Amino acid sequence: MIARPSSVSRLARTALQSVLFRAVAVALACHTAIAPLRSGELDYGETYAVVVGVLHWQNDSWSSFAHPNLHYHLLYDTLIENGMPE
Amino acid sequence: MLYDQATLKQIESELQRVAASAPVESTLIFYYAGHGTCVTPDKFCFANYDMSGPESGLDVDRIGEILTRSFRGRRVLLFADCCHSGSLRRVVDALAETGIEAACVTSVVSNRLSTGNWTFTQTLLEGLRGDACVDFDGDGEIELSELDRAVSEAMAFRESQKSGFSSERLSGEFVLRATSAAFEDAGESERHAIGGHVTAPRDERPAVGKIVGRDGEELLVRFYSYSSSEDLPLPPDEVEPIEPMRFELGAEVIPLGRSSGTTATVARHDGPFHWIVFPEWTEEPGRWVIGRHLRPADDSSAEVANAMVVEAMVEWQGRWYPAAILESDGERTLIHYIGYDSSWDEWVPPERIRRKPAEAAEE
Repeated sequence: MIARPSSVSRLARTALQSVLFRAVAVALACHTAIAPLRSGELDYGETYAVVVGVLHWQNDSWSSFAHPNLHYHLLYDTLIENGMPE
Repeated sequence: MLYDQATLKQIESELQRVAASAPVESTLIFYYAGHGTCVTPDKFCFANYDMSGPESGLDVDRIGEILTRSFRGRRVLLFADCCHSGSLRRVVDALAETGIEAACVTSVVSNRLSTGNWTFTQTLLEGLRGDACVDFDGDGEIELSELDRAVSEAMAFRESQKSGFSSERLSGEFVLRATSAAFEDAGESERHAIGGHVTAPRDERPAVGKIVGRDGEELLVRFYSYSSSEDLPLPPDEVEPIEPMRFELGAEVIPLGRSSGTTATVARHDGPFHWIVFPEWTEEPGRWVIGRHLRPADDSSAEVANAMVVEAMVEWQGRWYPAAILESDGERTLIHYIGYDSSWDEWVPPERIRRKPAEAAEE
């Protein structure tokens, strides 16, 4: 099973408690270099991210998705673990 | 920052804010999961929470406009898990024109629907976490081209759909992450390479999985469900690599879901996919179709049809039948009953389809 860190579980619970849809947009900025990197390698310390996940919509014509293991939360958590500061 | 509502206004304003604040040499990552739609052949939208029509959706070209106008960093990486997600290549092209390194990896090519499973994002997570099963060359690093390959194979073998990839000004050797664990190459054979997709028993039933490592003499095979996975140790002789069905260039074929009189020609290959062209098609030049969804035009026998891979069991009037999956709109699934004429093809809701054929067959 995919590991679900506690921080992700908290986020997931928060999202699940919303009424009609679960949506997350995460924007992060950081300015801290963590270590010298060679050219051509992603420096998470200098990375910004906008993460958007929508599972339910205001308009019923869009079908909803089931929502276990909200993966955009896991993505956000992974970026943080890789060195992108919150 | 956590939003409760991903409205059009909020998404655009946040993208604008983040892009404008990113310094020189920075990288911006954009990810979207949800519904995508093709409004016109030249206009694609991702569905924000309050999208009610074509004019109120998150226009993919608008993403490009915001980024090209506001972003002054070095590179942009775009990921999307939705129908028509491959339209993000338009953003890649727009960014490249302004000198920004850009790449996109998406669940499907721009003109096709995407299944409603989390397969794409599961694989993206494996790559960004540095899972050794994505490190195909075993050099201890996950490169952009390796992520593309992992996504491409996962979408092909688990979803029968062609993923999207585009990169401009950014090398495929660009390193996304170091692997999180030592590459297990002890005893690895070409037949059972780490990262390879296989058919293997799960709960004593055949299922598609991926080799992710070794556990003593056994192979560690990862099996996926809708939004989770489990790793099981299995003896190598029970793990069968998937051999993609392949038709030669110029071969005349009939795609699953088409009648016997609808013949197409194989024009090119890309991995397990075939670019087929129908002489009578005018609305689109062709279509990528995985080999197991094709059959020879000169052999429409039930035997050939029955040789197609069973991907699901579908309930029809109280009984379960083997079927192949043609498309999904995120909720319903277009299926083909194996051994039956394509006139029986239909869209079925989730409660009538099970992706574990052997389990369903016993009911």
